[in-house]
Amino acid sequence: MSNLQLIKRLYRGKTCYSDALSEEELELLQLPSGVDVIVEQMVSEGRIVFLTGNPGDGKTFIIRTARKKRPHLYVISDLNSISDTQMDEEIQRLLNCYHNHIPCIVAANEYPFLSLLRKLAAIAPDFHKELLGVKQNTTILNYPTVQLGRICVVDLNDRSLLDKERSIVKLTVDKFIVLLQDSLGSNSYLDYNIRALSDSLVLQQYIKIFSLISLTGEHFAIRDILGTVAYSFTACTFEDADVSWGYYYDAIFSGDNDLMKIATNFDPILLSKPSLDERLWNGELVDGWRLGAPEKWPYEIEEDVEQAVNLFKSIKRKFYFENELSKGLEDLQPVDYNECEKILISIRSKNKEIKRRLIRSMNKLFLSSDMECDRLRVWTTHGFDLSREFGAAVSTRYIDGADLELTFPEPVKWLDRLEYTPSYIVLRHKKKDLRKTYLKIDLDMLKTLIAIEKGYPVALLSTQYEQKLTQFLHGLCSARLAKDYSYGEAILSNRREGTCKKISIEDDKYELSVGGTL
Amino acid sequence: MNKNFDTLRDEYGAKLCMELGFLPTSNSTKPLYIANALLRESTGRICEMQDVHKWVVSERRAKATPSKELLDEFSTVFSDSGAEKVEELQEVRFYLERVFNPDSTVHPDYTFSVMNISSKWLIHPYVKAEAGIGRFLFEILNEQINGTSSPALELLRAALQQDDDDITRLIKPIIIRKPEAERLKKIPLEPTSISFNQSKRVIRAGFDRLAKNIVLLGQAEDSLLVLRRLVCFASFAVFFYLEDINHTEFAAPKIPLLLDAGLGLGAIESASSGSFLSCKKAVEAYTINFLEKYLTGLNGQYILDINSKKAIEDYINSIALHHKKIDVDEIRRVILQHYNGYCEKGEAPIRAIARSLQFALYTYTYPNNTPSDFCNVIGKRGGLAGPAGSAAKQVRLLIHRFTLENLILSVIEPERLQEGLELRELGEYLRDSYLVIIGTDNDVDYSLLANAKIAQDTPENLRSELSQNAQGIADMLISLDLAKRYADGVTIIGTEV
Repeated sequence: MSNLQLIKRLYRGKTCYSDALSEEELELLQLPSGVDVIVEQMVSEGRIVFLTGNPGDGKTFIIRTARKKRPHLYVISDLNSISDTQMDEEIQRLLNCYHNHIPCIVAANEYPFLSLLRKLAAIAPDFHKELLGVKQNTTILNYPTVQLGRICVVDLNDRSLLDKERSIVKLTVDKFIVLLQDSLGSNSYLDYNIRALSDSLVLQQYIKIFSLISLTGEHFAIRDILGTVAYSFTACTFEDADVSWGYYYDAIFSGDNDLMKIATNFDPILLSKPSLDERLWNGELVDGWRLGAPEKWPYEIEEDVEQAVNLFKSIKRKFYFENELSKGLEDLQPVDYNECEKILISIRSKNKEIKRRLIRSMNKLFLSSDMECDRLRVWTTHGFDLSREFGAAVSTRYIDGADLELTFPEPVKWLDRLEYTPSYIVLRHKKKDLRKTYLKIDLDMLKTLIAIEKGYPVALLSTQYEQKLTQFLHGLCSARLAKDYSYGEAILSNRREGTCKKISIEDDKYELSVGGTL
Repeated sequence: MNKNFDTLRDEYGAKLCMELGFLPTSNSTKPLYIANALLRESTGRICEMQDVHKWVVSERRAKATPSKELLDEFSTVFSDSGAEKVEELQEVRFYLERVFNPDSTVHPDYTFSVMNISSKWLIHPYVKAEAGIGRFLFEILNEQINGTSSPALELLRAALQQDDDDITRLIKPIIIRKPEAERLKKIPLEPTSISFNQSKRVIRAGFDRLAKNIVLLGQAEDSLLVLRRLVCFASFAVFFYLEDINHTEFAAPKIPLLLDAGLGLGAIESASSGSFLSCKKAVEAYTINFLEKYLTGLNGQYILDINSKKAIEDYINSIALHHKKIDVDEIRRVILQHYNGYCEKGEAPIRAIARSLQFALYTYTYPNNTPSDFCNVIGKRGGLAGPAGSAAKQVRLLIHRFTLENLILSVIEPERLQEGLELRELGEYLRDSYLVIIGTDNDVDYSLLANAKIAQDTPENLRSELSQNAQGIADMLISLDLAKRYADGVTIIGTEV
């Protein structure tokens, strides 16, 4: 099989993967991964390594790598394929490994792993307890709660291979460019794609698309990533290829795997800048093209509007990836995604500033005119009729922003080589014994808070985050960590109108004329 | 006999409600009334809060106490009464009304008003719209199972004792004007005498698991959340009981409750609407079955022979009827007409009279407040049915996120929730407990809908939409941090995922 055929197979279906590839082919596709190093270390220390993850996450690759050094390593390569009767035998072997310090690797998808856990709970409670503890603590918030013992779990669901810093996209592109050298000259589109993706600007823009995809919070298996890159290069060589997807910049938005479907959300054709669009249509933009300006422009196709529009779309994508002036277009990618990325990138360096921004947005959830950013107000909405929105909220206390920390999960120390990007950040109280009470701000919630910050009407948002935030705040209240406002101040909010009334309740007396704004 | 005695209302209707344990004949029953009823029965206390009520009814309402009068009457609650302005108080009362009357249950007349309940201080005496639901639920919760009552009761009582929440804080200066002994009154509680049937057992088990899971989630100290969760489940329990009792008492087929995740899937919307409609029909069917059973008990006494068409016709002619607006002869004529019609269709006379009396009950006694209407209202307000609003065309089991969460916490034992379970297993739990279906198993769920004659009336793509709906439900759980989806489509539900 030629390298071109091998790469094409990566896009085609789930059966064309590691199990079906020869050692030589696997060797060609091997990408360095931190997980290999982790597994090697754990095995060398005699541990039982559970590799959990999904089909296509690269478990077989990892096992093959580990076995190269240790051909006799005991491995259960797919827990799913083991029958119930075999399972009992395998568990006994595992227990034997466990008690006799014999290393082994067990690869399992999520559900079979859950089934195994249940069986172990009955048969081997100690093993079960240790395994469950390690599994639930592969990522931590600042300090470990479980010590590594005889068992370790490498959860490939936690592996993020798309974001800017950890991206394997560049490695994959580089590898494919090398592998495809022997096909140069066989297809003009393929030649072009190889040349284009060797360019630093193009590669940067290409990686940026994957980076935006990573901000959707979806987990993509390595299979999807390799398939997408493979298709970008080779769509033009498929028998059923439509010439209009021949170029990498069209192909990446035309494939049908899960990752490419998400990619369509970031297709440059969705970004509109009228003056630019006009120049691109009329062929007036001739500067800044790294690989040469388009040979034909939409305005030249007078007889077929659809054809002209399709050409325009293609040119716009080409512009996005290949033109030095494309920055303006790139900035039009959805604001919440761009902001989300900025927050995640700078969460360490600008921690306080980000915390204040998020606190302000959270306060605005309950009172749109509230600009408070140093105190997270404890708002209470209460009622029993779920067919109505809560029109009023009350706040008599707050959590001092200085008492809160904004952090994010990280892999435990022994997994620090894992390509990990947090899929959520966490707001919690600094008090140590309360660290289980935290607000998990996933990417969707983060985008929502950004939207509120930008003035998006809260009334149009789902109430799900309000409920989540309220539960967090009231949890802190129950732990007596909220402080009363000075002078017994109470704020009553009319959420529909964004107005409020402040009163004071001190020594069981009302004062209705409390001055000052929020 | 009282000349106003109406056999439909005072005999059949009353016996029906007694048999059910509550009166599902009001379309003004709201979750807050259920809360008031349940919490009063659970604590055995009510609170006298006429003064707070005066504040809460703002001056935009007719018959509200003018703020100027309040300033005089409550001069001791202000730190500097001279400085307070009428306009300020008016504004505050407007806000207080929004806080304490979120569900439109506060009226100018204190007797019929229930204010938003955040603590023991806000529990009101019995109001008609409670429909006896408090007692019904309390009896289920108080039943000794393995020597103990439901842990939900303790949670509720503890939550009500906490009165430092933001809502209660707002009215503390008014509350402390009177000593606690003057405010809180004990109410006489009759000993419980529950007949525990299977539907009640299911409800009790749900309350118990929900209470245990609230503790597991570390939410027992959050008094307002505890109240909201348990009252939300109470609303579901009442709905469930109504739709399930015909199965429990008369072995009618159980109704699959297809929850709509709100993805806009046409077949799901249609089937879920069919589920909801079947629930309402089940209540009607229960009424018929109950009447048949009840009238059978009159055999040889008031009805000479229940198998005789003539004897039953005589009975219909003998029953006392009374109606304020409609001529009773007209009502009797309609009953007889329906009776004869059913007999002609081959129904047994006893069945025919049960059917015709059910029709008369729903048409003349509860024209706007049938048990079916009750299902509609409680379903919508309890977050089980939707869309909200009386103009909504296709009302279905459009589950609210909060109700869904509580349902799930009511079917899974805490240990299992900690350990995690797969979405398909959650589907099994929901089916086993309430025959709630979410689409986790296409074949099983589809056949349940087909057996209930719901699937046949929906577009062809129902089978494929079921799994999409299940993913929609999973998305809701993921957003609640109660589930995690993996790339191969497996979704694990649990508190530690």
